[in-house]
Amino acid sequence: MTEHPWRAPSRRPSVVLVPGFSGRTGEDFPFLLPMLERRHRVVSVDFTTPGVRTLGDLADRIGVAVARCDEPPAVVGYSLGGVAAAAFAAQQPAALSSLAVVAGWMTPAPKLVAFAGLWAELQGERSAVLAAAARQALYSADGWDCARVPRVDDITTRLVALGSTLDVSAMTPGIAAPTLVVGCASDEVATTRQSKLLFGAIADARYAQIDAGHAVVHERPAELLAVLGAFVTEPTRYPAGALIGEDRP
Amino acid sequence: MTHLDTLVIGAGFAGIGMGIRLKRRGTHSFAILERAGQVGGTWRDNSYPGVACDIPSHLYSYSFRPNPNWSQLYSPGGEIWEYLSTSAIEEGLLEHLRLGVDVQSMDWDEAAALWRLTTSRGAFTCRTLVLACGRLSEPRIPAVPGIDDFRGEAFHSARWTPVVDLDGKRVAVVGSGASAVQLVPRLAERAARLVVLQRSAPYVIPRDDRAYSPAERALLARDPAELSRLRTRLFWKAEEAFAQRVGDPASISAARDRARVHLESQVKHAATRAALTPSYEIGCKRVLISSEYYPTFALPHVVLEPSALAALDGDTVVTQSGARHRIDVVIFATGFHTTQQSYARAVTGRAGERLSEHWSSGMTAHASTVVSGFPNLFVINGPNAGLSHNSAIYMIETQIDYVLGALAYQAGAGNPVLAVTRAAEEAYSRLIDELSADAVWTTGGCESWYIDPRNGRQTLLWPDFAHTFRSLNGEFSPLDFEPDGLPAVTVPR
Repeated sequence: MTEHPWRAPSRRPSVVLVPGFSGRTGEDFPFLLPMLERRHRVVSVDFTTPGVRTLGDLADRIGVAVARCDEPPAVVGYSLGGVAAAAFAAQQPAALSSLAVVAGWMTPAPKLVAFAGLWAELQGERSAVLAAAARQALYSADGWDCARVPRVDDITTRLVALGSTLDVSAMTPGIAAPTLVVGCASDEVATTRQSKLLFGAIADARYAQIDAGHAVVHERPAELLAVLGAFVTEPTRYPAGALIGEDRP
Repeated sequence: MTHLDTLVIGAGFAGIGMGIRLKRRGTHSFAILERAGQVGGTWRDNSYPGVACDIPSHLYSYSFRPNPNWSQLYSPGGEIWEYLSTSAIEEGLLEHLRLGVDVQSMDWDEAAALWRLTTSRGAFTCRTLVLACGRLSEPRIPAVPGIDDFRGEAFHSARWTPVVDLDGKRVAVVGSGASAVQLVPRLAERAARLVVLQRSAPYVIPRDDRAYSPAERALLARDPAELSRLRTRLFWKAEEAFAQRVGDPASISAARDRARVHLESQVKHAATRAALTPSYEIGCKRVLISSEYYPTFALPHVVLEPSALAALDGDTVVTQSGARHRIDVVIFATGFHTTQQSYARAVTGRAGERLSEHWSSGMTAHASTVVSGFPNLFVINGPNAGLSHNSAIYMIETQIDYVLGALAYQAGAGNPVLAVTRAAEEAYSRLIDELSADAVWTTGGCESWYIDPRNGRQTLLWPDFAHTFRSLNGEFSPLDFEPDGLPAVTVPR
């Protein structure tokens, strides 16, 4: 029997937090960021700089944040940021202590490619309905009461386009860190299946699923915090291959 | 003399829940002692008009007894009481309930490794004692001059006296907390004149209540998975509110704005609005939910006195600001004794130490449940086991799991006495203080029932998310207990 991690402060690693299409942790993690900061040193990754154009660029940005940590941190990425975190973990396996990929993907699903295509087309027309259309796609029906209007600007437009090209299927064998894959049951953008494929491909992965759409960070932030908080303090509590059951409060 | 393996004191949500779980495990040697004539705890004691729960009913109920038939999102108190009574009956607890039994003393007998109880109905002994006496059980009435000589009727909201006629009477409500907010709109419908004495203004947010339709209820009955999903969703939604308690500026200002907009939209009169505006940070005291409270003060026969009660003088209520109102009925909605629980005076552990002495500078317990020097004793709803943002039932169920884990451990380890170490209790208290440090109860600039005035410690609430309470305390760990069940030997210096 081991001590609960809360009683062992050494088991509170730094967390590198990697945003999704917004490119900003403040935008994607309005709940998660301050709540993780209560117990962990959190280093935010920012994708808003114009030079970010490839998967390698995204991974480099994560590398800069990781380098600011004294010990190998937990790297937690959401959506596009999750895919980038997986790429980083494959490139520099010794640089991180654990990896969490929330609503990420192995290869862009046709529906993600279509989402990015619609985004580009509506943005090209400067269409006022882009934000509403994106919201329809990002939120589940059950999470609609907390649906926010997504930010539409050049950064998001660039990152959505980039996201629809990201493919880490060749890299997953190189991911050695204990990994948590969080899939969302109603994710119609990245798709639940793509999360499950990451779970299948990453050797030391366990899988948790949350009853939300792709916008899980806004729909179910407290549940996501519980899942991530438990994982980063004790990454191997569940063995590789485990399907972590949903809490039944 | 009656001997049972386990005695549970109190037949509210905690005691009934404990009984159900024991019974379902095939345990038969237990009894639940209840001083009142009926089960129900809070929901038996609080029968005032308008009483309801502030937590959605599908969450404020046992996970192991889902109820598809809740009438409302926030069901009325009577419905909750009926749910508890029905639960006790259907789970076969009647043969284990001893109603009308007032427990006078509970003493640990070290030699026999037993708890010895004296009660109004004779003596009992047990190996394991579970205190499920509640947190809001002992009404608190302000000790003001003239209270015993008041000419009209006076009673506490948790001791509702239905025989007292309120129709057309002059009624005063002392207090503006969770009970008052529910009671005041109902009293305004009956009283000729209603005076509300408010010591400090509460934050009030809208109560977005609604009835469940027949289709929804039938669906929940037919598809239990749907009910489980609903409960899960309500739980995580409630968890989000904890961010408001720990200084997350965005969450706090969003919550404060919600309350301010509610006040401004419901109260147009400037002076009344000013009097109803809180002077401390939101969340420092319990945040109240009502869509009916504020509009009451626009009624011509309702008076808000933004002042505490100073005295009762014959037939007159006197406020600290000097206002005087002739009153027929005074209702004390003044809350409960929280930081000093009366049951603690009746419990004596090792070396003659009373629980009230152990807690003389504030309640403490390891895992919020076990107390050093009080072997084989478990306290549910005791120190730092409450919440101000989510369901108490989730906490109670977590503590029940802990107790059952302890009993299972004992059964598998040759029935050792379980004596938690002082070091474990102290380490847990340090954790509580660390977690409370940045929380609004201690920093928000208010006087609340969460804080023990004797030492300024926050001893009532679990100062974190509910889910972390379960993660930390949901499983019993024998590591925190004396290896041989004996008191630690003190080495003389």
